[in-house]
Amino acid sequence: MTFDELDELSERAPEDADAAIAELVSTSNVDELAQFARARADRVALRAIEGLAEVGGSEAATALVELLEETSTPRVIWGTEQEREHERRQSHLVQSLARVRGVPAPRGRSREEIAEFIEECRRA
Amino acid sequence: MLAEALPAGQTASPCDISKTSETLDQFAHDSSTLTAAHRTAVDRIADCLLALRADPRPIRTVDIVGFTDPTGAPDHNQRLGQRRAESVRNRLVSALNGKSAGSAASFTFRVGSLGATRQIAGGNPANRRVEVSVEIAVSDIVVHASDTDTHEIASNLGAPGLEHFCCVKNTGDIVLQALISPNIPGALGARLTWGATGTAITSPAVGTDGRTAKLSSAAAGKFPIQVNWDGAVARRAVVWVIWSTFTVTCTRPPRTVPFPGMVGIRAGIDHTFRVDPQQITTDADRPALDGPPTAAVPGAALRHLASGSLLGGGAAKKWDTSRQVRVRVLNPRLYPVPQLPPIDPLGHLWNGQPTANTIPENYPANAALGNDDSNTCDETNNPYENCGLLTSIDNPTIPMRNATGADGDTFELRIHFREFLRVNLGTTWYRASDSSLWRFHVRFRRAGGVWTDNGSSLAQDNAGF
Repeated sequence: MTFDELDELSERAPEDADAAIAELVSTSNVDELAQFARARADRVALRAIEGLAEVGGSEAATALVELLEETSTPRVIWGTEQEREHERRQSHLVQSLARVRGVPAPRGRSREEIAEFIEECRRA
Repeated sequence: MLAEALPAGQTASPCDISKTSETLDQFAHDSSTLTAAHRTAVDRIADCLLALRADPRPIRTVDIVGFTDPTGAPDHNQRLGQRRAESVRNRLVSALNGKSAGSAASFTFRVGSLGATRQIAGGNPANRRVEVSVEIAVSDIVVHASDTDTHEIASNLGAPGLEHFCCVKNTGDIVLQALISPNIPGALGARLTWGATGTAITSPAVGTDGRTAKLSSAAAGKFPIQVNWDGAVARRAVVWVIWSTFTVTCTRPPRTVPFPGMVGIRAGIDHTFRVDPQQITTDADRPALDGPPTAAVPGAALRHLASGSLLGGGAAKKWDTSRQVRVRVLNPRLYPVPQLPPIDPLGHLWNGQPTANTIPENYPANAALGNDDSNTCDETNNPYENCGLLTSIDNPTIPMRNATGADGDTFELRIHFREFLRVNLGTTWYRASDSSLWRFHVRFRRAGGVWTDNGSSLAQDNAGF
């Protein structure tokens, strides 16, 4: 399934996307979970992020680090709904990565704290 | 044998709803033999019963009661009345089966006698009679088919609750229809009347049919209504005309926000909407308008101009604060898209770029379509747990890449908004407030290698587009 197809599915049939994520978790398919974690549909992306944490291991950790780094580059934060969606995904990524790496999550979410956290996770 | 007291005003002739019964009088003294006039009347009654067989509200039970004049002993009169009623019943069965084989079996005939009780005017011949009637009820109130903007919404109490009819203010007359069961034809005369509290209700609303009534939707409110049958309340319901008022609770003037390699300009505004009438969220028996919507929002398949997200995510409950946007892009130096602020690949804010002056997004024609509303993160939409209030906040932020352009360059976005409340009734979304107009004009000038605020402004109007 291509990324565009995944994106379509996640927006048109989020329940089917949920089931697909569960299957990916059970087979530890980190690559496709990382794709889902970039979906526009917030619900699907958050579930995929949690799925990566459930899979665990260094491959999932690497994927989570990459996803977290992507959140540091803002798109147009058009309004509060996009800002909060961004914050929620970033928070999910931080919590999932902390769980996988066994390190504490940073208290704040400033760019500096996120960058420091990413470095700590790479060293862990 | 029938009970002594028939329910007063709760019966009708099988052929004419304006009459309480069909009367066959002028029986010969001490006789139960049907006259020619009786046989004709019975045949007509049979036609009326058969005419409604296919109706959703057919006649199923027919009461046939015999009476006598006051001469003779009570016991004798009781038996005579019974024989008269049975004669009519037997003729009616025969007529039905003659017109449609086996059709009499689809009816229940309750045959009885009241002897010489219930004497009526007209002397003894008039009292030597049989009355044929059916029990009648106002079985339901529904929205008339001509009214597509009023919706019957189930009570939060389920079956024990009242009927609730909801519409948004200024959507035309609310037209209701009383369903009579069985659905006997004929003009109602004064048998059925309508009443309302807090507003006028007029009947008939459609042609001359007194089963229909209308109320105005010009004013928001809760309007209890009732249908009366023969002067007694037969059914109650509530009509709700919905609207809301808004308040701007906070504004945040433009300020710069740093990003890596970019400078952003941000402003903000907060709104509170109050649902009217408030009882629609507080009454113990109210329309069940809490919970998720029963229809996709208008424009659900469209995408947000910047985030690329589907507008279908813009509502998670039947009550929803929403926003419309229009944008003008002033790009005098004709920066190509890669040099403009990054947006989602499925966004269309930069459609037509590079161009000096373009409008990539205009206000939608559908008043309930929120083209700047693709999720509910910036809203609280539960008036049931927030004293009838809903809120929205917005902090639009526009960044410019410092690598774009040269010192002295300018770039501007004129972003105009209409903030509003919408409500989902049945299969439709309706705007349920006036628009709160506001605008954010974002003006950049590049100086010293970075972009600076060149007089951005926030105002509560839509001027200067």
